[in-house]
Amino acid sequence: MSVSLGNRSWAVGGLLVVAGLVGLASAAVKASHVAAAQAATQAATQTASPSAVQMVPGGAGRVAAKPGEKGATYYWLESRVRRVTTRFADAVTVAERATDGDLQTRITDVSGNELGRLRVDRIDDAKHVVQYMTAKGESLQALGQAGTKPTLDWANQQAYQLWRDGVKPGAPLEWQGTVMRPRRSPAHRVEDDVLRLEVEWQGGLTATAERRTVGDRTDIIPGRVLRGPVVITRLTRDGVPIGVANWFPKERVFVWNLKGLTSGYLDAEILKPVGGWTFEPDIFWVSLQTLAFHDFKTQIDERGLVAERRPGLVEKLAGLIEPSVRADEPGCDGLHWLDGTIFRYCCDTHDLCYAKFGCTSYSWWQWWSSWQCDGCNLGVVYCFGGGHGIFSPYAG
Amino acid sequence: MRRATALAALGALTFVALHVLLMATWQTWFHGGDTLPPWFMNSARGLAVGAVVFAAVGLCVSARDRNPAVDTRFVSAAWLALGALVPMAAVLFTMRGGPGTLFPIAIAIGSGIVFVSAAAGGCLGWAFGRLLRRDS
Repeated sequence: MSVSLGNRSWAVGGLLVVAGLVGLASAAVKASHVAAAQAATQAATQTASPSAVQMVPGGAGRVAAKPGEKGATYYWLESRVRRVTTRFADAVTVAERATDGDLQTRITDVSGNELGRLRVDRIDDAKHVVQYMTAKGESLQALGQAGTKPTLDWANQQAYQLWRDGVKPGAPLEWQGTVMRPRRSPAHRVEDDVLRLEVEWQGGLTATAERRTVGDRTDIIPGRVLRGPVVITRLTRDGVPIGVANWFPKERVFVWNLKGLTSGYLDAEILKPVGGWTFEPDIFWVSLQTLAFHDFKTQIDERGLVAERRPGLVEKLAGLIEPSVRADEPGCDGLHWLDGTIFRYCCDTHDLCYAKFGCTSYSWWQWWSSWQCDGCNLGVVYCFGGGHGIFSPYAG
Repeated sequence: MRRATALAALGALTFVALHVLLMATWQTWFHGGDTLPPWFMNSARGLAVGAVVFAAVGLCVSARDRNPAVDTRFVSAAWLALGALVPMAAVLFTMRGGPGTLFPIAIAIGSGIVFVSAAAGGCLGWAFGRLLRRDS
């Protein structure tokens, strides 16, 4: 077979083109490998290096806390609790926070005789040492569970459990959940033994929680039956009742009513957008949440964090002609010295009632104009006279 | 009747004087702020001053009363409160923001406070009077 010059040129040219294409393809593949390797290295660096910033993409939603644990706000609120008194069937534990943040618990029997003491010595934010001493002076010391934050409520439960287990120095211990117990002890939830809990907060506020069982209640949330065990927390300021909250563990419903401040309920359906109940509420949480509602709402009311309605020009001009009848300030109109008292609830309920039925000051003497407004007025007179008020849906 | 009218007028004048005092010193003494208008029941301190003023008036009226019976002090206090009621209602209805949604309760409580204060002052005056008469 003979090959002409022209054909040879085409052959050489073709080979060169093929070689060039192979070279280009090889370079492209190499480049892609390098890019992939670089990306992989970058990704590896991001996950491996402790100094790398972990990014949260937009729309990723709420960053969840460790499952089963309460968030930072819970511990911040807990740090404001001054004293927790936990009553069990056979003992009473009182935990207090020392000025340096350490926790001290004293266990007594129901007659007040001392049974033991527990002290939590906080080393840093992650570490703490638990010291327990019996009434006979025998003591033991252990390192706290890594990663958990000791609270006053926990200190009471831990002290009670150690006393109840009759723990002696040298006995081998193990963690059962968050509570230390003698090794191979039968499982037991000390929280179930709590009969009554008193949480003392700043400013004379106290939340007292106890367990009860109620029959069918349809008046708490309209159209819904709540029954069974309930944790009832009553909030007082200097001994004066200012609110109540109920936790129904079976129905998983939390209901609250703080006079003149806030009322409402939460259940799994309402909490769906944030993942439902992400933890198991306990008796202490119910008290702390009730105190938190009071604290946050009071601050909002005092600092005006909630947008206030301001009248426009036309409304202001109308006000010059008719200045009085529509006036409805927050609190007790004409009696603002009562704003900080239990009567505030009566005034706020009356204001709500007026707003709902469109009543004005005229409603007092134009009684024939609206029976609903007459109801509002009778309700506030009854409330001022010592009645419980219009809204009283709570158990106990 | 003249005495009753005089006492009612005294009650009214006392309330007007009290309100003028509140208006003049609302920001400084009573820390009333801009949100609430000057009104003796809009501030606990204002209420205390009002009670003391009417107790003092009741005491003075009682000191001038020659009747040894304590009942007359309560009657005097009632007339003083009735007199104070008129300017009280007038002030409540004309003040900035109007009487508010609880004005009948505000008037009832205000009148009650004036009556109790004046009666307390009257009883105190009566007790002092008895002591003084016993000594002399």
